[in-house]
Amino acid sequence: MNPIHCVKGFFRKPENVILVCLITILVYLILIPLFSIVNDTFRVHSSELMRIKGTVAGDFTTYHWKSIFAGKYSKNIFYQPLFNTLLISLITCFIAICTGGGFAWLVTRTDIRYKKVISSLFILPYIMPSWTLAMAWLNFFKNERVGAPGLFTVFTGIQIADWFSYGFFPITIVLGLHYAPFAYILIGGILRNMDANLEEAAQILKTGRWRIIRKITLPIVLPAMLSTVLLVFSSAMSAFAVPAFLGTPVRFQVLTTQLFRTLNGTSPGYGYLIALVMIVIGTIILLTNQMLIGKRKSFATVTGKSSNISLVRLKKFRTVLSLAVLLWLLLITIVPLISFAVQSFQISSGSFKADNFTTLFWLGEGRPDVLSGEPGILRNKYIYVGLWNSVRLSVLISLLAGTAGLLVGYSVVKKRGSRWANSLDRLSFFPYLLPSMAFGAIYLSMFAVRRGFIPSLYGSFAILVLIGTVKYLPFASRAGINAIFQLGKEIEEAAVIFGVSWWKRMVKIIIPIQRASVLSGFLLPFISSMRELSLFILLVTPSTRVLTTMLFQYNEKGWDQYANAIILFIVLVVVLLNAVVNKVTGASIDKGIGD
Amino acid sequence: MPEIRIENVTKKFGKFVAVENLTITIKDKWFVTLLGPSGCGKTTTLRMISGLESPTEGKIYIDDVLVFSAAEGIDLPPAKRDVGFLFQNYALWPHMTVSQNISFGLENLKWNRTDIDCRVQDLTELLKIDEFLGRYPAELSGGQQQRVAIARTLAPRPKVLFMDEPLSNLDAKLRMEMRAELKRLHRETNSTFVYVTHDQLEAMTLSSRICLMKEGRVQQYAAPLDIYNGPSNLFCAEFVGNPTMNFIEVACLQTEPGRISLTSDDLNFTFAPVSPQPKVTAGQNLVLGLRPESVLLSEKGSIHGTIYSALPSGMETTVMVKTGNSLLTSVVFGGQDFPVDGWTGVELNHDNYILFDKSSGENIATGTLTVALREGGV
Ligand SMILES: Nc1ncnc2c1ncn2[C@@H]1O[C@H](COP(=O)(O)OP(=O)(O)OP(=O)(O)O)[C@@H](O)[C@H]1O
Ligand SMILES: [Mg+2]
Repeated sequence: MNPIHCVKGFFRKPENVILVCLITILVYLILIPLFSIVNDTFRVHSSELMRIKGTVAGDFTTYHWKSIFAGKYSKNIFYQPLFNTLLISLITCFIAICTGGGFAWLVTRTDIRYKKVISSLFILPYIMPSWTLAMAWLNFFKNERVGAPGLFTVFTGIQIADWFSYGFFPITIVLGLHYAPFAYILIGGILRNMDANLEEAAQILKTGRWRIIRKITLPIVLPAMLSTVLLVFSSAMSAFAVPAFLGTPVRFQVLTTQLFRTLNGTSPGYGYLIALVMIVIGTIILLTNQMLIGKRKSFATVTGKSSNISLVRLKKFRTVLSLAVLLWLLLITIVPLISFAVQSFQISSGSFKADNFTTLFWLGEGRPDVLSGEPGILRNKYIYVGLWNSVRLSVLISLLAGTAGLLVGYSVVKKRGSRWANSLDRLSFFPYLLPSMAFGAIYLSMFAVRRGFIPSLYGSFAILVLIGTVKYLPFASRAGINAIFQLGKEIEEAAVIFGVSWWKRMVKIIIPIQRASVLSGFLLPFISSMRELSLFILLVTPSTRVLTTMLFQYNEKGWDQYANAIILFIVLVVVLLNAVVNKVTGASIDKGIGD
Repeated sequence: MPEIRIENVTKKFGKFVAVENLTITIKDKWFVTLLGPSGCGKTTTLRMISGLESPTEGKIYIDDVLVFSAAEGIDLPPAKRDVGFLFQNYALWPHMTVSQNISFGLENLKWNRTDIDCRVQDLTELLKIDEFLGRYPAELSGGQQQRVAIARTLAPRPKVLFMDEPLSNLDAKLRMEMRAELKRLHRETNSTFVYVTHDQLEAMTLSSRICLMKEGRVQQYAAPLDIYNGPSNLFCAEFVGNPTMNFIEVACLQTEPGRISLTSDDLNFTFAPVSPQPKVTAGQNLVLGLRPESVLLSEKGSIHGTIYSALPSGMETTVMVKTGNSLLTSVVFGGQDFPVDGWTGVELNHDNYILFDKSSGENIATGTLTVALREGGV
């Protein structure tokens, strides 16, 4: 056949056009930055001229590699933080899977009470910014090391040891609880779809309850657990705010905090190299995960109708356990919020005398004697600018990422199995493995100058939108692939037969049918960017700052009351929005992650 | 000896009654089939007997042991009831190989390894799946998966075996083979089988008793041929038999001992019961049921009709005949074809015609028929 006709025929199919366009754009926005980061690890940066003698900025050098991996200070700047990071990520995975998986089992397989409430409460730690819990931890458990003691000491008079207040222990607990909803959603999804007959068959064959869990249930949810490990490990590894809040007081360093210090300080070369190491670790985990799941043991037949699950009867433990679970959930979700609320009304935290309460931090005009005369949250025009920026940014990101995710889903499912589709699938997931702050750093260096048709974006709002869209594409494309995959191709083909145009098929058939899934592809990026900090922290300028970066600044200054008030603000906005979208459309984040 | 007694068992899902007041006894070594349209409560019944579901009311005995009693709060778990269960969708464990699937139940019973291997070997040879021992379920065809499921269920030698539509996913040929296999297994294993299906042919050919259900209630519990020849009501008559029974709506003209005169749109019948004389009154609405093989086509038939359609299958031909306003189905044995729109006579000279009461649907009598075209009729 004539090659020109070949090409024409290829591009007559909308999925092919989308495929080619998306791959081109993503290569530009993901792969090229990756090369640029590798390049940056071999370059002399202007702030390093003092140390790398006799060079000019931009020269080739192996200085960074040598001093990170084999230098005098390697242990302090790299190996120790690396070890901390890996250990934290590992333990975080463990905590997340145990609590999330355990709760998923309780909710789907037993007759525990308050299932609805438990479900919604359990998602909260994920919707809330990760450092909410970290700050709550500080509120309760900080000791004299940083100013006023926490509530625990105030109420009980017991002094708390450093290891309990700061560093490794609280970081893993907080991250573990924050990512437990991942495990809950992923494992719960499998448990819900898993054919109950599989367990009943074992029951009939006289298998004990624990043996059923060990031999039947666990192996079948193993793929979901592996996915959880992948997601949680990568997320925990690139978490910045939590280790920054909880680790700094005892100089507990992880890779991300090192990254922030080096990139913001005088040795960006180190930073780029650390970022590269993190990306490599993430990639290795992804590949291991794929290898494990791709083994011969086919899990394909796991799903089935599970209409009549017979629930495990908890008998006399039912009420006790239900209440305990509920109480515990309240403790990690509602209580922190209340503590923020209370503290935002206290002039100095920890004192509950009547004259210590004030509405200053909410409504005050700003008193020169308190916190540099900053006006209260609700009167502070910077707060409103930040809020407006946050919302505007999140809406744009959600629209762009959601649409792109849907297109990715459409073309990947349509061309399923082809090499191009697989590449797009992987490429669109890749940003997940890029640590947010490293990603921010790359964009900072890449778009500081004009590149091709893209003008210099430094300090602009557009660069925030761009990076958010790419960073959250993985969520959106998972949701998109899910939505289109579940639909099956016949429904669209039925419309093709009638000659309905592609645009109409999408808008009138595919999107309406899979409304809930599609919407969750929009909802996830929105929520994620509302509470994102590390991705934006290197890129914002005073005019483009968002609520979270303001919060970070208040925190660094030690203005806890403002920080608490802002957290409350963000959580309320996100939770309310999630609830509204959920009510109106039926979409919810658990549908998006449940792959 | 495992005898299963179900007494007044009712199952409600919320307000919805899935099974209502079920009382049946399943004797040792019987092959009982639960038959009925979709949603009539077959699976629910099976799950209740095996202990996977708890009834709302009633009692269940297995082997004279009270395994469930709502009043006394007794509810033995499935493991204690010593039963086997073959699931409709096989429920093979996807992460275990064929041999792991089969030996799992035996490991639970703490059999030693050599005995387990022996048993697996025997069963897989019996079911002709010994070459797939190392494969995972996803790597087997539907029929092979099913045989693995059967082997897994049979392995611990359960005295009672429950099977939920085990053949529904198979192609016609494999289904025939497996039916024969199941019947042989039933003999060889000496156990009691309770079998669920909505395929009436399967029920007819396999079972020693059929329990015919509709909307959660038992319609008839009897041997297959008894149901075929003496359906207790219109539902049973219609559900069992293929092609289905012919039904002619009639009204009673007059009744005298040994004779009931009936009239339809255009035919007059005289019904002579061979069973005890039923109570009918003049003017009562009735339904006549005629099995297709009892509707004979012959030249000397007393009524006439035209061939509406003829479906020869080789062994027999299903012919639909239009007489007056009604269509009658007849089965003619032998590879014979009939010209459509051709003329034929119809003869009703058997003694197994059934009279049903129209309003209650109950079977009220069986007997012979003589027919005449009504004067002034077509
Ligand atoms: N867990 C449940 N909750 C509510 N209703 C149920 C449940 N299980 C079954 N039912 C209802 O009970 C009725 C009987 O169900 P059952 O599964 O026993 O039907 P069946 O006879 O096996 O049908 P089929 O031939 O389609 O398998 C149905 O109407 C069904 O909708
Ligand atoms: Mg059923």
